[in-house]
Amino acid sequence: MKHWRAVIWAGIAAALIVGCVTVLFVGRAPIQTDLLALLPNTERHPTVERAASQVMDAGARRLIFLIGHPTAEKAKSAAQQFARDLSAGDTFKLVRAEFPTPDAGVLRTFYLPYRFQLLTDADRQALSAADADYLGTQLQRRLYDPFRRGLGTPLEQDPLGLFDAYLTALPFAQNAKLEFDGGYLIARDNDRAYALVFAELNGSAYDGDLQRRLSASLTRAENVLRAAEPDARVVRAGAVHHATAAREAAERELNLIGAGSLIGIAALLLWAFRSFRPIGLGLLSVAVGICAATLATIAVFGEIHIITLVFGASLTGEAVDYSIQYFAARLHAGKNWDARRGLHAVAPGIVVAVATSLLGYGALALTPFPALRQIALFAVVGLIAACLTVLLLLPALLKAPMKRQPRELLRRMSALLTRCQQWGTPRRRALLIAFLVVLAIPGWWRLSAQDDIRLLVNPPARLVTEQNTIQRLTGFSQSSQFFVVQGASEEEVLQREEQLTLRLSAIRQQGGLASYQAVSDFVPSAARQRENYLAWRAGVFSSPKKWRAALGAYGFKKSVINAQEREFRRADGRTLELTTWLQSPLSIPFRHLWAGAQNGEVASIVMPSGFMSITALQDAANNLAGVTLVDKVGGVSRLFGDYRRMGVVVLLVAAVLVYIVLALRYGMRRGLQALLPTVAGGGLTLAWFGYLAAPLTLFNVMALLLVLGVSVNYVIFLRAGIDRRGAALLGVLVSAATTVLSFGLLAWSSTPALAQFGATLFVGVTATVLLAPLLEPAGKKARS
Amino acid sequence: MSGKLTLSAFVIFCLSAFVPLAHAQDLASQIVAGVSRAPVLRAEFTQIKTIAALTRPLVTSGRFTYVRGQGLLWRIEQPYRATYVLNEQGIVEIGDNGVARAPTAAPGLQHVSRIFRALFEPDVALLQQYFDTTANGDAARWELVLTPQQAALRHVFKNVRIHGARFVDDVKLDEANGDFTVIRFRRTQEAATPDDDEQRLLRRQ
Repeated sequence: MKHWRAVIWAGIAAALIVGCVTVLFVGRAPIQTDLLALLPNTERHPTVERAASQVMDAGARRLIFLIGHPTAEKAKSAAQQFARDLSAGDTFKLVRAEFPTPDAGVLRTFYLPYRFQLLTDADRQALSAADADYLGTQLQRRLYDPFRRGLGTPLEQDPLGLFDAYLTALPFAQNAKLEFDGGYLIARDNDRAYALVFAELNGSAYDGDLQRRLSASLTRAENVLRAAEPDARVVRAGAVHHATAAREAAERELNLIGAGSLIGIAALLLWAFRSFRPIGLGLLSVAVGICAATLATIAVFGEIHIITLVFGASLTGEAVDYSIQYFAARLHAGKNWDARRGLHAVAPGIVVAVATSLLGYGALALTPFPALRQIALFAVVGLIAACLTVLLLLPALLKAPMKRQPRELLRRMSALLTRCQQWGTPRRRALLIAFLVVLAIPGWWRLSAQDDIRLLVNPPARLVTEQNTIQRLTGFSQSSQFFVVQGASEEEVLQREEQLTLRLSAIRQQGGLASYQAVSDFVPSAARQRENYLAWRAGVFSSPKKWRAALGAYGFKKSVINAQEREFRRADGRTLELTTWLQSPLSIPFRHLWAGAQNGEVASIVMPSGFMSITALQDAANNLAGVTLVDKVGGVSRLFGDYRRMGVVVLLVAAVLVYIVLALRYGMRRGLQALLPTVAGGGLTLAWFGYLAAPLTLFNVMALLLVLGVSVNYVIFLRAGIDRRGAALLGVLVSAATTVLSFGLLAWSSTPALAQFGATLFVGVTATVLLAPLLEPAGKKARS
Repeated sequence: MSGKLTLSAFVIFCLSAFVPLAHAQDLASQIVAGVSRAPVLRAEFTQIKTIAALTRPLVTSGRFTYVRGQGLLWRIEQPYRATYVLNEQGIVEIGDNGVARAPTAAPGLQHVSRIFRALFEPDVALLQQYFDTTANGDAARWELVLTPQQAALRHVFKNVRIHGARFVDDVKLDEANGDFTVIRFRRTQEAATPDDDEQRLLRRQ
């Protein structure tokens, strides 16, 4: 061993660790927690994807609070106080508790010049088909109906009431549950009044730093509120709360399980190798591996996803195995230990193990999914770095032989291995396999798959209750289903929206939809505006004599009649432009619906709410050019299904690649025997899930890939160390125990995704390591 | 979400405002004690509406039935025939041919319906949730002046005045856009049960 290699690698390792710590803990850690960010776009069309993510982003940034109190006045003042506390600091871009009562006059004034361009669908049809009775009936209704007050548009501006009908139908009042009350928006329950506080985050809802600041300022504001008004109550809703809860739960569990497994691993290593040094050195190789992998991932992808970190960190279980091999060799040698010779004894086994793993994880890089490629890169870099640390650094750092060799332990291990191998005649091994297959078949039979992403997260019950309360009291709900309408121009988009909303209105009338929001309701297409104008001409102004007579019969003043005719003539060719509306404060609550133009494509959102079935919406979008129904939850779930199926293919490809390496090393037959325990372990794991009736998800498949990568090594190490008997078996058992301790413990996580991952590892690794000595043929020594 | 503007919205916002009940003043409580509690009230009405754009007022007349706990029938007989049914579901207009017009989709109609029923009964407690009320006169001849509590409702009404004794005699609506409406009731009668025709109309959805 040349000394300078160790020195150089020590330098590189130190640099990697310092670099990684700097990137992760100094300044903004580029850790991504948005599950959706892992996934490729769900939509084929880039314009649709852009519009969809724009809406989703904006939605995720919005928070709603209800501040409840038995008396409305207290609720209002508490809301004001709460909003003031929240606005301190830079967590929010906007916090609002006060909502001035809107003025119908503003709405009327804005639309008044265009009143001959605007009609409800029903009125346009009625005007176009106007018969002799039309004017009379319309005037009668407008003038005599004792209860219809509309928006209170003055009669001289709107004798027939058609303008008022249009304004009344605008979807400003989608939400009838909140009321404006003295400058606040109030919702009422049986015994409480709730004042609404609206807030918008000053950044992404998935930014961990922002989430922490949010939690801190919320706690502060709630404490202040509780001190001032003990009866006050805060109810919250917003995607960021779920993201924060998920992150906190994952961090808490990773810390807890991480600490538990660290202590367990340390105790195990201490027991097996009788010295503290292996613990430190084992962790060193793992740390170098993880740091190198993290830096490489950030360098290539610009960020690292939390899932990559979790999955990648589970490679610890594998990386530490390389060191364990080295320690086991030292254990075996006892007083005769020589670092150089020891390295030569374990290096071939480690190299084969790394080669099989690299092929296994490398197969992930072949998939078209960015998430899997990120994990593949992480695994490959991490394992190479850990392996290099063991091969280059450990011999230099662990030269001295062991002081006390645990002879009794080694003797027992050796006897155990001998007994296993004596038991394992070819016939018995075949019978064991046959028995396991029979045992597993009913389990396999019952296997099912589940890809719904809503089942992969487990939001705290409190958050779900609060969100339901907000939905019940305010009618606000977060929908991940909406239409994207695209076209070559604004006009085309508006016209296509109108075709869509025609169908949506039909669904609404049949009760399949509560409401929808579309820009074209506020600004009809130019073609539709022209159509409306022509309908006015056809139904009313084509025969001025009849029109004058009809109005005159009800006593309309001459000046009013003349003004109407004059206004109508002047309005010819007038169009309400989209930009005019977008610039008006009236559009503020709806501007997110207009995604605007990019690369010559214009897009908008039509937002349905309170619908019965997604298929009805799908049908509405059918055969309409430029209209796409975006169903993010459904799309992502489908994508998880694709990942899962792709994962199974990767698993099979990886198994074949691993077999090729094993066959090259051990020969065709012995290579197959080496793979057998792992395949059996994987098969038993699947059967286990079948018996439990737990459906398979992407995370089970990912964990199986890890089982493959880790477990094959046990056979490799067993064979490579067959001369060392007891020490070899001890090394493998310690390796398996560390893996189960580090990641099998995740099986008890409250996050279903992590639990599935952990349970698979737990069962798979345990089964494999128990089968490996039994299925390993005795006698023939491995070529080395 | 900050700009809900329709009238329906207005009416809802004001009408669904369950402001804690003000303590009924003495006179108001006397009025409450004095008005008829009969299960069914029937009357004839005349409505006179004065509008700036018109050279003459609009006059309608007809019959009115109030069935406690069920709703209100407003039957216009002059100058045309139509029936309005006001109940918890909202307001439906039934033409002379007996066919209901397509109901307006405005979400606030239940509230409009509720406030008009409260006006004609009169249900002082309910009215006090939406209006500041002052009472004048005495139990034998009283006047209630209703001023909307919220800005939103003030965009529709300046104020509403109700005169009455055992029954409501007239309701005057002074509207924000300058219109002025007077509704007079005559020959009010009490009854124990609604007739079949009334029952059928009120029970329709």
